[in-house]
Amino acid sequence: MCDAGQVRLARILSVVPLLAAAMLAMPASRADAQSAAEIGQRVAALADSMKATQKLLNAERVRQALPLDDSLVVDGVTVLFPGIAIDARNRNAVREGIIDARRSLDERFGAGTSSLLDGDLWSITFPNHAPNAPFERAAFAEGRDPSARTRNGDYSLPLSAGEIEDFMLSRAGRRLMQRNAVLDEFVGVAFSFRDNERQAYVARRLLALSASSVARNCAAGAMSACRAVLNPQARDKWFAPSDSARPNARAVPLGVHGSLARTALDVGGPRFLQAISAPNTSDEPLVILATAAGVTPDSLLRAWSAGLNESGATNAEPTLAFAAAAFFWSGFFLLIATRRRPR
Amino acid sequence: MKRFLAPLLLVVGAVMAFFVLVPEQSTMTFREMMRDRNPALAAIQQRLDAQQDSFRLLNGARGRLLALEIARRLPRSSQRFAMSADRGVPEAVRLSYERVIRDELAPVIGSLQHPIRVHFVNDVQQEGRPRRIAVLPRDATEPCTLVLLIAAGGSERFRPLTNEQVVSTCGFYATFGMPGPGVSSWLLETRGRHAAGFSLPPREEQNPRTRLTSTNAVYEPALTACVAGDDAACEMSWDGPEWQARMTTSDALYIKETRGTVAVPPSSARFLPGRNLSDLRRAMTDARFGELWRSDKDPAAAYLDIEGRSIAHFVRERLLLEVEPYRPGPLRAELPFMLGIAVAAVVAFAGITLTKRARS
Repeated sequence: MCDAGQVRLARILSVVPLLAAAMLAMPASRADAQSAAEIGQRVAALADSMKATQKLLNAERVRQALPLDDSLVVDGVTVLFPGIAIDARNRNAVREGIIDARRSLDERFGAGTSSLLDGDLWSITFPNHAPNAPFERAAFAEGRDPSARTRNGDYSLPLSAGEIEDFMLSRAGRRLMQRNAVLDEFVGVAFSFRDNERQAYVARRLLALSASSVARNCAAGAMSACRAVLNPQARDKWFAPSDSARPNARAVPLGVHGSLARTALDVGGPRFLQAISAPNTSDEPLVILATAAGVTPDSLLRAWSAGLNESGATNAEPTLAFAAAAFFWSGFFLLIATRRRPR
Repeated sequence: MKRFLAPLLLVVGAVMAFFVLVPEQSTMTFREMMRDRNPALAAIQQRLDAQQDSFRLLNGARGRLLALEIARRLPRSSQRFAMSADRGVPEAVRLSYERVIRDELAPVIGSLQHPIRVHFVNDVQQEGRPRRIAVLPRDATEPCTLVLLIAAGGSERFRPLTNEQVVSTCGFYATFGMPGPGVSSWLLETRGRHAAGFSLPPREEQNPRTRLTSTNAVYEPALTACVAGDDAACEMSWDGPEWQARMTTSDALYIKETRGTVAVPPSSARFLPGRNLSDLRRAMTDARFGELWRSDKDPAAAYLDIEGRSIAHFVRERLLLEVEPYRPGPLRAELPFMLGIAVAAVVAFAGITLTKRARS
């Protein structure tokens, strides 16, 4: 009853500013002639109102946010969450996800790699949650500020250990790249310790469908073209004169860079993880990645290009549905063909 | 073997039928997902939305009025093409836009049919990307003025987007001169929305990724009816009440005072396919389009006179390009099914042959 009353009151109150905003705009439509400067004053007043409302909304979000009154600490990773929202099953998923991610990092990339996650602090919040409604979507954000709107992950409940593992592997990748300023800028958030195959497939598509013919040549296997589009300092070589793209356009998105960095990790193994923090000997990300992987830039490019092509072949394999359909119809025809005819 | 095959087929068939027949769960749209379901927060958000709507309307009118005022008081230039800028406009932004404008006008720069004026404004109330507003000339003595509102003290990182149209309606003036009375009044009535893009890239020249990721243009009932063959729907799509209604919701303030201005949307390359002058120009020869441009009738009627057929044909042909299936890669989507049938035929043939042999 109390909730219903509050809702009604909130609805009534919401109409007042609506009317005020409408009144602010209405006289303008009826005014005979005003200068741009006069309307500019009205615009400035509206902008101030919007800022005030946004501030109110932020404050209300903080007030309405469920308290982060429970936590999990798993192998050095702390996760805060509202105890009411995360039941035992979801807690287990978070716990298993973190453990799996750490194990995967240590087993695949060398003991101690999981230390990239050490000291991480995450909050699980429910920004769009309605009171008395079931909990549906959980937002993962770094730190403990419930008003922070920057979400690093958004998942439906119930959480799965696989999702949390992928999330942690991505965050570990981000942590690694942050150790090198040039690479951090080169790949942004596009580097992950997750399997490279999907990323390589997406990178191949992005290259093949780029507005830049240089990038498309790279997708076709031209190493010099790849080197040009992957070099942030060679902007003038990203597009051929015949390409219909503006000078400010990007030849390839960050996902392609992420896939190259991921290949460098595969090639270099544990050595790459150590070498990435060393002082750079070049400004070119490709050279830095190749040096960290212990190979020449051309070798890295060839390995990357081969990975892209393999990913295309793997993704073109028939699906399970296709196999089931083929089996069904084959069997059906076989059954008819071998039926016993009445004598 | 048959004893096992029949039940196995039944099971596989049942599983397949389950996946085919069970309705897909409804997926939430991004907007629904982001909407706050807490009533107290939703009420404040609603208030903020209303303020933002008012702000957008009022600020839109302010920009048009400002452009109009500036265009009217700019000193006349003896040159057919002139560019100028307020003090304080970031040079990098100005240069990048100037380059785009010169590129767009390159085919006609040597033989401008109407003077073009470009002015960059250091606008203290502009935020984010530069806004482009074309101020149409009232007579042949006035230039077509393109006013770019650049955020004062704003970031220098703003550059024209890929395929961004800047010259807009002024490009038609530069190429074909002053429009005839019919087209002129049509431009004023529609506030130039159908003429905001001047040098739209044709669909086949567009970046394939844009084609793959852009929304399907044929999402309105009238457009679907047009594609299906309804001429009346095509004509209505070109210049119908639907556009008038849309215009009034996004551009409802100071209509009279801002008459003669055209607000250029940031991504006019994908703007109103099949319902803009640029597409129409591309579908006609330059000579015929010039005739249409100088006509004393509105474009639809002029098109009928010149081409001898209704504008509906042009709209439909252009929309059909939008719905044309496009699949990247060497494989066709039907190939797995065709392969499946081929495999089934081979197995069936083998079965029949083996059965015949066993019986003989």
